[in-house]
Amino acid sequence: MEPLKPLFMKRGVLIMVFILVSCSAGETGPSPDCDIDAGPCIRSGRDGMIALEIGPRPVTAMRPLYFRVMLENHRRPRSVMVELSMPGMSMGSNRITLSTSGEGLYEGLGVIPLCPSGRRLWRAGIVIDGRVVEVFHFDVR
Amino acid sequence: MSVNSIYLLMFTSGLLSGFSHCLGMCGPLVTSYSLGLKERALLPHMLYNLGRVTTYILLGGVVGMTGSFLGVMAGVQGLQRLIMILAGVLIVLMGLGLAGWFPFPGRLEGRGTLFPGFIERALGPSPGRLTAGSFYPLGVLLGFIPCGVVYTALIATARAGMEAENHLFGFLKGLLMMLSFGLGTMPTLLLLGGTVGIMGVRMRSRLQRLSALVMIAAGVIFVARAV
Repeated sequence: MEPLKPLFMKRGVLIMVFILVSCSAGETGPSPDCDIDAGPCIRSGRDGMIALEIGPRPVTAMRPLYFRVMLENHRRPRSVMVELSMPGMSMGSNRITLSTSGEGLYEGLGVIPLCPSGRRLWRAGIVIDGRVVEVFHFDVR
Repeated sequence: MSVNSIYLLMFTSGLLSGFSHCLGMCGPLVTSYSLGLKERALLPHMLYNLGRVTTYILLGGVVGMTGSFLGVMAGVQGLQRLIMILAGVLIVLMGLGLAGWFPFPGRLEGRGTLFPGFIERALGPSPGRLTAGSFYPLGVLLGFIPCGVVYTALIATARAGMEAENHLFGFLKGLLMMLSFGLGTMPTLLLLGGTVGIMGVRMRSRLQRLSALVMIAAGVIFVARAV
């Protein structure tokens, strides 16, 4: 068994390097493209206009929040969701299902978890009928 | 979404998060206690992780029963801070012990352990070294450390709890969801602990000084985040 020891050591180092690389992968990510505390994030595309509003403002982690999506010139969707994630950090699946509350207006309640690492940048994907149609990046407090 | 797919999703979420997230929070601690283990044993790692998962199950059950993530978190916030500070101090002491910089070196000599005596006494019945049984309560305690991935899993559990027919179903559903998530996070930390364990003594001694510095820094960060 003695000659196998260096092999174990090398293998151990390789596994550790793999773990550390996968841990640090994606450290650099996108920057905020919207100030969610200033008002709704709005974007117009080929499919129409999409706006995301989160409140109450200032948008703070670990507080109950409402999520409001406004669609203009879109075909009536079967389902609308907001998918929250943190760029460069796997935070699990946090999907907020919205229900319709008017023509082109969808609302739901959710929570943005606190990342104890101090990261504040969040990504909100607007999922319409199972497809991510728009993405906003913003900082939360 | 079917019942089975919820549990599968939670397990997968834990598995994926483990590689990118859990290592940052639990990695320094797992590395440090692994370096302190004399034998190449799986039992302490299993017990530590089962302790952690026990806490997740407990939180999942309560969150599922009440259907409230924020309410439960508000209740354990003070405890979480205290545990963060204790864990941070513990990691710093372990780092100092590993580097041979502990202010009372006489207490460590010939003990075959990284821990100062008073911590050993707090953690296990054997005064000379940590016993395997010490790792389960350690895992239970450290399972309360604030963690974004665990928060996300608990938010999903709260949603499932709100949809449950009654409190008992909510409790059971929450418990099983967090069990699935916790089991998913285990392979990464078992792999890390096992990897440190299979390293030869020479390799460990080379890594010790570097690990000690990382541990001291990690411990200080733990305390800084809590206060």
